[in-house]
Amino acid sequence: MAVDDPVGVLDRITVIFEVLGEDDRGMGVSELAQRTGLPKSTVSRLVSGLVDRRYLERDGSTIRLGVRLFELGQLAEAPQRLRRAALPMMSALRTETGATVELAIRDGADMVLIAMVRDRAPDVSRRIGDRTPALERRDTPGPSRVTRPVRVFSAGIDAAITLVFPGDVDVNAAPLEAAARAIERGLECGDYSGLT
Amino acid sequence: MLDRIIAIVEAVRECGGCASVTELALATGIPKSTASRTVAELVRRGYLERTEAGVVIGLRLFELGARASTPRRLGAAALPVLAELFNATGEHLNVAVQDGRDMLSVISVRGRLRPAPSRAGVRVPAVTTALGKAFLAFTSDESAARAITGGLDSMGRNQLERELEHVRSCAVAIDRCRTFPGVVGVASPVLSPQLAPVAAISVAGPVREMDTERMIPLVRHAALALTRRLALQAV
Repeated sequence: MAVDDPVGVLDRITVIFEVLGEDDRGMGVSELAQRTGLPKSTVSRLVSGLVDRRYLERDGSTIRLGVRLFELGQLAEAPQRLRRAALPMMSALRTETGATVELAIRDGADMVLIAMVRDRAPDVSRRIGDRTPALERRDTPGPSRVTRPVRVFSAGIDAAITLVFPGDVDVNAAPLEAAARAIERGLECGDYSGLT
Repeated sequence: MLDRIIAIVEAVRECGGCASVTELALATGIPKSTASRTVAELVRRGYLERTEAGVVIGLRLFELGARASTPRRLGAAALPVLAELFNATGEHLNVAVQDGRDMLSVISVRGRLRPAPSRAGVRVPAVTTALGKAFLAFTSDESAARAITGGLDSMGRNQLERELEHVRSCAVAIDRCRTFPGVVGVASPVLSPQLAPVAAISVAGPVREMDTERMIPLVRHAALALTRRLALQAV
């Protein structure tokens, strides 16, 4: 594969980003080379270029995902549009049910968590950007329970909202359907009035 | 090659998050056929997406961005601190990191000030904002300092240096309507265990209504609390 072959470079960058995204603590170039299966010299060169542009950050010898990725990610079209339409409903749901409200967007066979409105005893193991298989049953810590995800499907967006309850609260998932429909209406007319 | 990929992605951002391939080729100076091929590769991997309006930032960048180390670490540590500061002030709050000549907001809470450009992912100039001056007063990173103050003449630099001495003595920086008309910002640095500024935290409100003197100890307290929580996280 030619060195300046665009597919090759992008594939290598992608695997570097993915491996670093799996591990908050970050890692050195040698471990990164080992876990990506790329030659150390290639990893070293790409990492330098990406650190210079702040797509990665270097702390001593540890490499992690950088702030430029965060900045670009905040502009991502579908999550931004969906969050605008959904956040007011999610806050209302949280008030009404006392549960943590999660919003995830579909990506192929996975769901990517894009927003969370937490209850008072939140599950801190769940974080924005988490990816889970769409059809897998979720494990929750301790006695908490998760409702069936309710689909939000409108204006080119395929997503789902879920409630996560502390175990000692009665599950009342009824408001979830209504909220999903309200989010869909918001997406259709681009109504962002709850968040001016 | 890396340059071309990054130039295309950044051109989408600079075009406001949505652009046609023609616009991207013009903005980057990359030939249209090459730009088109690069966009196709970026779309295939989810970095960009195609919509009716044009090429936009894709879900993969959202996901990677959400996992970026510094914003994630700051976010986890800052939530209770920001909740307390918001209860005490009701004003706009931001936690921002330095990037080039700017401060980049990584967490943003909306207060009564409006309209004001406040959301995570937004940049403000470091040289005039309270956030930037709080960072600059405590950094020993000379290339960062040069990037921030590069546009100043010698008078501007002297003036800023005097102000930074004051910021160092009280650990609070103030921006009185220099960046945004009618908006006062009060900020304090968030330090690493090695005492390097990793971020700054600010309160911003309308100049006529916000009591700046009352904000100073509140912001200072929040910055110290966040510094402490980051140190605990690091252990």
